[in-house]
Amino acid sequence: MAKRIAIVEDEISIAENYRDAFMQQGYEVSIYPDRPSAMQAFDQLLPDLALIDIGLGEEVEGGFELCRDLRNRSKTLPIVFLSARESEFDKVSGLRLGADDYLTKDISLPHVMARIVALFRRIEALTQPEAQEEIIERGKLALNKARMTVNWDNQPLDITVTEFWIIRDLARYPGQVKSRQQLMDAANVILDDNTITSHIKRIRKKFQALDDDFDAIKTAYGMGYRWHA
Amino acid sequence: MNLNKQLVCVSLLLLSLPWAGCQYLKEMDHSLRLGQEANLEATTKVIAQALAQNPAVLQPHGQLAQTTSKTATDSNAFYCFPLEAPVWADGYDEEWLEVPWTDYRSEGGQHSVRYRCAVSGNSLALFFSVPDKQVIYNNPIQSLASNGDRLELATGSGRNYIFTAVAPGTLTTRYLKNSGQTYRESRIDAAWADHEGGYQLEIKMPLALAQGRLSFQVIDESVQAVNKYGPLLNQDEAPWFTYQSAAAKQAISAFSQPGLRLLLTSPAGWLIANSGDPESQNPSQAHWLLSKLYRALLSSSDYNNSSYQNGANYADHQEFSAAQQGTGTSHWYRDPQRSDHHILSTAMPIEHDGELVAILIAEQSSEQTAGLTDQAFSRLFLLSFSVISLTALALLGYANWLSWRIRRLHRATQKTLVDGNGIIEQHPTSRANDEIDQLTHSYSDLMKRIQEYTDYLQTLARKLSHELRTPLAIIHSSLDNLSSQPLNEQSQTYQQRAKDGALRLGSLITAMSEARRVEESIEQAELEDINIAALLREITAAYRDSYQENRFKLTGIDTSTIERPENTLMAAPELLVQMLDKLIDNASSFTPADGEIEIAYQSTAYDICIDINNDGPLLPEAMQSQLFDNLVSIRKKGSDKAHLGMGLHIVDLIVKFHGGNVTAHNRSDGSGVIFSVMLPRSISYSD
Repeated sequence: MAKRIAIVEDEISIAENYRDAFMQQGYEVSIYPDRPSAMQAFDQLLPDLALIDIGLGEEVEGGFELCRDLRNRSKTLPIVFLSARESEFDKVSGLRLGADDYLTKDISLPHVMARIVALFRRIEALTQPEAQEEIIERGKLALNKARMTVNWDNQPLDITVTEFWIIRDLARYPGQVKSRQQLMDAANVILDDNTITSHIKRIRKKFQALDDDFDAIKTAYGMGYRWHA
Repeated sequence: MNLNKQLVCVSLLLLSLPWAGCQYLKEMDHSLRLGQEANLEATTKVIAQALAQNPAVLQPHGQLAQTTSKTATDSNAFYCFPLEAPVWADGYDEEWLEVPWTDYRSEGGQHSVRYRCAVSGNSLALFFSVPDKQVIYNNPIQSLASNGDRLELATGSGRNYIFTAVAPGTLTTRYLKNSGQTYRESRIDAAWADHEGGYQLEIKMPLALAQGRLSFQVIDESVQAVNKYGPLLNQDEAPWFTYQSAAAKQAISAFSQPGLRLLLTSPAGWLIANSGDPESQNPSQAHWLLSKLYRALLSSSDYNNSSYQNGANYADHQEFSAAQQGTGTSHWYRDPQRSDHHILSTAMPIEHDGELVAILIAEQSSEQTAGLTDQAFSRLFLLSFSVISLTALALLGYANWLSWRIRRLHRATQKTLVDGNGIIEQHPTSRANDEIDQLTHSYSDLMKRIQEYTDYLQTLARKLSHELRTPLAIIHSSLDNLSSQPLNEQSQTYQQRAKDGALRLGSLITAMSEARRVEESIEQAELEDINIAALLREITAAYRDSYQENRFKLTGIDTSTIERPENTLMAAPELLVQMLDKLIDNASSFTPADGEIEIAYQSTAYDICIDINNDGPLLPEAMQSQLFDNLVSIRKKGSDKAHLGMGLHIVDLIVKFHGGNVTAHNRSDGSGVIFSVMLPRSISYSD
């Protein structure tokens, strides 16, 4: 059965472009220009993935509300924000509300696609037995590629897809310096250096929440970051 | 010239106040003097009329009845000076020293006699000094009075006394009667003394004996001839002599009053009597310095500057000449003793039966009125001094207040301009609803407008980047969709070009909002101990890879001491790196190919300095201060990369966050540019 993707976006051209791209990949896509119409549809049937803009017509933060609503209905439904807003504040708010990823609108369609695929794969992997899983282990770190989960010292780390890809890219070859550009490529994002810096910062914080002495991600000034085993 | 000095200059105009006061005082002084003149003239006239009722007092011998005014003013008339000390007729003049000589010169001019004449009590004294080359004494054998050198004195009694000496010393006075007989006059004492080039004769006789008239002739006998000369020679009768009489003095002293001197003179100007003192009885109460100042100020007024001549004869005085003609006038004299005092002198003729009998002169000191104006002047001085001081103080205070307000406005404006970091100081306000207040408000408004404008510019980039992102996303997604369509080769080329353009637009938009994102990361920045030297060493290596067209040189770092704590600073490493990235990027873009970029490190007790020193074109002088402002770019147009003037602004933001400062200046030899970043060790956190 084809996966159903709901695009909640007031900018109809973008929504239709995304719809066309997704449909080409065999997804079933429905477009909602505002929150009420989306909610009405979700009352009847939840989609398999929701791609939400933050500003929805008159509602400046309609996307946030919608996200909160959806998360209440389903703990597992992948929610991705796609917004023109790029401030740290919006990103943090979006992710805190339970979104799985936060994308800015300058991201290219293939990148969005890669993310969608990854999210679906993670959902699938969660439902399948663990046996055939590919696991990378670096000291206390355990990376499950299929499920896109990260464990530190056997404790699960709550991360987004982007963060997972960055961690994986760093941890794959410990000691090797990864430039920001390389990390961006790995995470399927086109971002500026600052965004990578703040991603790294966030990742460090998440690890530090589990382990105060976490010091595995080193900064190589002027070059990038490396995993220090 | 600042405001204070300008106001001091303006307040100098206040000095016109005392000047005007002085002008007024001069006027007052002038009219007071006129009043004093009129008053004195009136007084003198009354006294003169009173004296005219009693001419006998003035002329004890009844001269008036018998003589004409011509003889009364005879130039050869004797004037007898008053002499206090009694005279001893001994032929020597030791008691005569204060009496002036009178010269007699004969008509031809070949003979001259000097004599002195004085009245001492009731005695009349005469002293003759007769030049004579050859003194021939009287030979009593020939005759007692008719031979030898002799002097003949005529008196009002009609007797001509003859003085001749047998030998120097006391001599006997004789007179000739019409019968030719010689008589002695024992009431007259006389003495003969030889003198160099002649002889001296001293005579003392009772005043009454002269009966008001005196004249003389000298008879000089020599071997060849007998010479006679003297005023008597041309006269039928001896003229009246004038002397200071007690009766006259008594008569005028009846009219004397304080501060008034009365003088009675003969029509020829000889003093007959004087009484009183012209000095003011109410001297000025003012401080001597003030009165001196006052006199100095008034001295330029219309006083006639002739000096008062004291003496026995008043004929030279101007007012006297007028009185001789029959009119009473006044005249001002400078006091010869005190240069700032003046004497007012009024002369009034005393007439009896149409004849000029005597002249009354009244003198008064200018102090009489000066005392009054002195007081006025003191008050004026005090008043204007206090008014001027008060006004000057008030003006100065006012000027200070004004310039303080203006300075405050200036400082506030300057601060806003210099800071330029978006914090607008509250402009000073005051309750004074005046022009400066309005100016302050206008400035405040202006600054607010400028700030709003700057804010708008700053947010414009952000807003633009936000607003452009959505249409850009439409283009991007459309192009992405297009690429999955079957396209011919040409369409693919165009699609690729559109993609490239969209990507470039995307990076531009990202750059536009960079400053905002830096501000955000500054807000979230966390400080940690960073070894700056190690960081620089590491990052320079990275730059060598990234900017292969330039050479990099790192100086000031000693590898052996790199781990020392003085190289460590509390900082946000990502921000520092970002700042260095911007500086190096900026330096590299200006450095010619194969040019050198030197990163100089220096650690001191207070701060750490990083100089980015590159070859290349110099900074324009005018731009150096605003180089680090937002949206300021000094790059030439047409460079391939997008430059919005954000890079150095971001540097400034980051350095300011670390409490330091960044400056840019040209190398002194003009070969390049130096950017200096100073990071203090004890930072004051500011966000």
